[in-house]
Amino acid sequence: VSLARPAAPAAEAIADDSLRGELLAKVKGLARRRAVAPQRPAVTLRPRPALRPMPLLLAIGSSTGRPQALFTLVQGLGKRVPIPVVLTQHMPAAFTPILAAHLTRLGAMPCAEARDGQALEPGRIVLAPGNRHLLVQADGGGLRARLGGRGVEIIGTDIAREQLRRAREGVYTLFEVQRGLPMQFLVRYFRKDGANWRLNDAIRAMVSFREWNLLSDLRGLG
Amino acid sequence: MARTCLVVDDSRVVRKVARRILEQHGFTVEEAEDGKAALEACCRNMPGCVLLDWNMPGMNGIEFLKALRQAFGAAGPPVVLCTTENEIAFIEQAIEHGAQEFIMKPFDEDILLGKFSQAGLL
Repeated sequence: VSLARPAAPAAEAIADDSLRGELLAKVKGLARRRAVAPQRPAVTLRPRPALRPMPLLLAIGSSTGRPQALFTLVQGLGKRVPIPVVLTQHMPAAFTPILAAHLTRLGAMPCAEARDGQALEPGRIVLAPGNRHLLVQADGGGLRARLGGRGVEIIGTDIAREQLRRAREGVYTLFEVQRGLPMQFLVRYFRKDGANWRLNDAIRAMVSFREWNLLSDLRGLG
Repeated sequence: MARTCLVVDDSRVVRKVARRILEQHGFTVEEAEDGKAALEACCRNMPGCVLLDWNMPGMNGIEFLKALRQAFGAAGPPVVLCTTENEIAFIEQAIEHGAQEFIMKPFDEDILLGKFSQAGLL
């Protein structure tokens, strides 16, 4: 909006009816324009999405049912996981080193059995050894593995080598498997082997056998 | 209270052996030589348990078991199958049709009593 600058001094100019009329008309006009000026569109306030902090750790628990699902998951995670990964797999102690090696061979993240006190590193899988609990301890800015729980070791002993050989082999006759073994367990843990029945490897691996005379000092058994 | 067992087997020798063992341990034993006769016996007087052969002429053990479960459901007696069949598939089939235990022939007294004990019959 413009208004011609009056040539006369201000007091005289205001006294000039024509100038005063023009000035008032423009001020009122401006006031009306402001009154009808379209309102600015309302601003929709959206809460800013919360910043999700990166988790410190990826923990995976896996039962005995389907190791294949575990392999698929680890392959799917790839090589670039920016946080440490801990894994517990329900599996006898004799098999967890084999599992760690197999997971490493998948070509995603390297995997190893946990050592007590080791620092957990991003992009590496630490596997709980069989029969052990894997605990994670905050240590300064990082995390450490702690192996806890009470590991249970089952040791079978006999003084007779032939009996130990048979026990290690886990093969039983028809008469033997029917003494004290419910049929559901027979179906679940054994398979037919000719006329005999063979205990599955996972159960056999839970027990170690030693030649031992129980009349001697037992401290060597552990 | 007297425990009763229906021994179902087409072999008279097996029935006799089972009867002797079970009677020595307090059972009252009734015998049937096939599934049909066993069903009739159950309808007359329901036994406390059944020791059942698989392979029999006419109605075999599994057919009897199915008919028993269909007719009496959970109210039917516990059944211990006793057979020369010893493949896993047979045992699974016995479990599926509601057998409590499975004895593979030949059996002896320890096995028979052990299986009855596992089935909660002793």
